Amino acid sequence: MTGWRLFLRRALYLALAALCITFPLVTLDYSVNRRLPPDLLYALSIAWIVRQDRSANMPLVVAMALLADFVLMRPVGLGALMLLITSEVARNNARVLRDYGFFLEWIAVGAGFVLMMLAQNLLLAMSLSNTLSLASIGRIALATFVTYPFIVAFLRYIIRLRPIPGGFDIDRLGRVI
Amino acid sequence: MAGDSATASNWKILRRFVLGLLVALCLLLFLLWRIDNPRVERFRMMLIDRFVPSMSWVLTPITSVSRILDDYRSYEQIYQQNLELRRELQRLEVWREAASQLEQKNAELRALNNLRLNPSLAYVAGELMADAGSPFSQSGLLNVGLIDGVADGQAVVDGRGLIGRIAGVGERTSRLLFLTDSSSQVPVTLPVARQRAILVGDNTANPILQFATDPNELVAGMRVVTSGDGGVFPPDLLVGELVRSPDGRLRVALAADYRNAEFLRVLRNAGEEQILGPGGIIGDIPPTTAEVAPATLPETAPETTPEPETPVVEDPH
Repeated sequence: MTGWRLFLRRALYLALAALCITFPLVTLDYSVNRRLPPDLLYALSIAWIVRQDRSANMPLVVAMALLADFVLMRPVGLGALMLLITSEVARNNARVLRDYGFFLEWIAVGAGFVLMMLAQNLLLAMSLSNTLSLASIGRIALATFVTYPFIVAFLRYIIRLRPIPGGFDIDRLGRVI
Repeated sequence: MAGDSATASNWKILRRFVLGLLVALCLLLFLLWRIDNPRVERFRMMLIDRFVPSMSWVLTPITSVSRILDDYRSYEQIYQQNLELRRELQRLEVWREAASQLEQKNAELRALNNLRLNPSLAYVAGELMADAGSPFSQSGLLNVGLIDGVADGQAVVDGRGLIGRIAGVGERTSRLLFLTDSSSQVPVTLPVARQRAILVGDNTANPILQFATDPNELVAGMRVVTSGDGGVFPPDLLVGELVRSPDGRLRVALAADYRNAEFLRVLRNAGEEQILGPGGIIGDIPPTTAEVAPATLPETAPETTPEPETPVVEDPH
């Protein structure tokens, strides 16, 4: 029963992540100063991991992030690395984020995103490739910050995502939650 | 209880291991992308070629709904637009007359000169269907690809002017790199000033004009067209108009409409014939030196370097 449900959840995560990768492709405005899309994959993955750790596991997150890197013309591998590390931090603190209420989670997710983008810029600069301007980082971060509550509401009220009973979740110290 | 904690610690070690493996994989891919870019980009194009058409059932409805909303908004100002268009039409009527007269005159003069024009360009029209989706590159996805005869480097124009070039071709999609992208560099000329320059994109709306012969002579408002140097783009495609930015740099206001880009033309440049090396000797091959009478030499000498019949393509360097 649990295994079957877990499989369904994973499939659902994959489908939603594919949608998140596709949405930024839709645009009618190709000028430089167009509205930059939020990083939907980041928002979805973090929100999902905080709510239900086990169904969005590491390989799935990395696979989707790699796909996003390829399709969205981002530096290949770097976006996946960043999302992997950020999502692992979120996974290890999922319980804290859940317990302290949504507002703290929202702030943490926003701050995490900015940190992630800055780290990415640092790696890009170290490898002598084009970096993003701070202005565009700010614009994407703001868009992601604004979108996050909607994604959480979607997961909560439409998908009805909650921790799967049975099995075990591991906290930061390796204890069974 | 003890068994549980043992499983948990095993589980933890396994997780650490997988995490390390995945981090290494991502770093490796990133390094590969930096080092062997063309191969990775080719793989990227292949992946996009698979992924994006398969998601078109999502893309198409969203795009059409937003287009409908856009159209609806324009209905609200339809009266004003109508007035404006009528006024513009009156002005254009005059220009049309002038243009048709000039065209006639041009044709006559060309006939007099017996001028050979460029081989006419074949083109394939495509629809711009998706954005790059991230601020890393200024590019779009066209729904024409290899099977339509699209190839890397071909120029893409909208109704008004040059919009970019093809950079990456898949089976049925291709990536269009805009002039505004920081890796776009196009040789241009300013016909009025008779100067050549390079148009360098820098992720702003107006690319920079660099390496002009004499920047001080250039005046804002001059037309900028492609020069065809390097043999990648056909010459004389309209690029835009020269402007001077507040910091005094020369930039180009692009003629192409990036805000409403939809249907575009990919110019399939047939390629001009290159002339390699000097011409051969016309007539009989002169006999070897031992048999040549000294008197015949001066007569054959001028004929050894005949003028090429077709205009030589100028080397930009």
